[in-house]
Amino acid sequence: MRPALGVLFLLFLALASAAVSNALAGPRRHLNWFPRSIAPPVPSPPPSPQPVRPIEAQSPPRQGAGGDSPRRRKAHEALAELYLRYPADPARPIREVGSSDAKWLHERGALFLDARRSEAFEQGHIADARSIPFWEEDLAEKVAQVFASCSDPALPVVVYCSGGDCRDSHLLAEKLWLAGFRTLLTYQSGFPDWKARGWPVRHGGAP
Amino acid sequence: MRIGEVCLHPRAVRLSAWSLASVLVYAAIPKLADPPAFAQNLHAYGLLPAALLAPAALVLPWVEFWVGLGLLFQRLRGSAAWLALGLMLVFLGALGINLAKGNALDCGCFGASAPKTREQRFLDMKLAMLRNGLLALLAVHLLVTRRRDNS
Repeated sequence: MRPALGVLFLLFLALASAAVSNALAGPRRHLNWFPRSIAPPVPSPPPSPQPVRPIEAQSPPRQGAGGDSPRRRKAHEALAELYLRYPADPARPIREVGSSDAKWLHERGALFLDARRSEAFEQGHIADARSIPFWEEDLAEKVAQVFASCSDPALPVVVYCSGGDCRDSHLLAEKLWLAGFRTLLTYQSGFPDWKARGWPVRHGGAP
Repeated sequence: MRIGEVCLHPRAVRLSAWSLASVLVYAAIPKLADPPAFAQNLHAYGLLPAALLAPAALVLPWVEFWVGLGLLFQRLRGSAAWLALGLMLVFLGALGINLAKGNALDCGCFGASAPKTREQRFLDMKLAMLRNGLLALLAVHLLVTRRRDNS
């Protein structure tokens, strides 16, 4: 066989095999050939940063029901603290936070997002964190779901991965910013640090 | 027996083909098993635009796999050796650029590996370059012997 023909044959074989294997792959092994880009929630680009609303005007906490119960009041206070300590800063929408800040945010019910792979999330994750594996399929849909379930995009959102040189939390934070979130905090030391400090950890899929 | 005669001996050619083929197939399998992890590795190299990461992560391991198998068949050996040489030069270039930039990364040559220190990763990258250089020489060996057979 002429070398050029053989090269074309092998490349075609590789392309066809990739197409078939990707079509048959499960959701954790599947890659979108050309991933859908994340569109900002408002049609008019660029997304303008939202000013911090006064505490009285903020939406009530989602958890808890009924009048002015102590639990509801406590949640409202925690929310107010989150807004005060981490106001939306248009100049720095993505910031890094340390371990103690991450714990403080966790105690006040901030949304934690885990950018690691699904397997790693199931083996252990920060309690109440939601899994958005950056490298798995349907990232845009998952980000849109989180955005839709969020009461206020100016609320701080903590994103983490495996610490060290892991950049997935930063990559996910950029996607979240594109989706409309305005205060993104990357916990650079990530899950290994959280676990080493003995802070609340959960195992399994759903938080 | 002179070195040239040893290199041209059919057994030496078969040894080169089988060595190169086994490394390529062995390297392809973990990448085929987990394309998202390989896409993550490719991203760390910082050489491909985001739009090409997924296609590269899906196709490249299959190219490695079929080139590895192609080396075992006499009729495809020449073409597979050209592609193997191309792959090795691409891998060498990618590692070399990142070494020059001081970007210590997990080479991802045989799938994901355990976390390592920066120094360990630099050492691994240098060893990977050495290994890829040797594999490129094996591909050249196959191409040279084929050319002599044809002439």
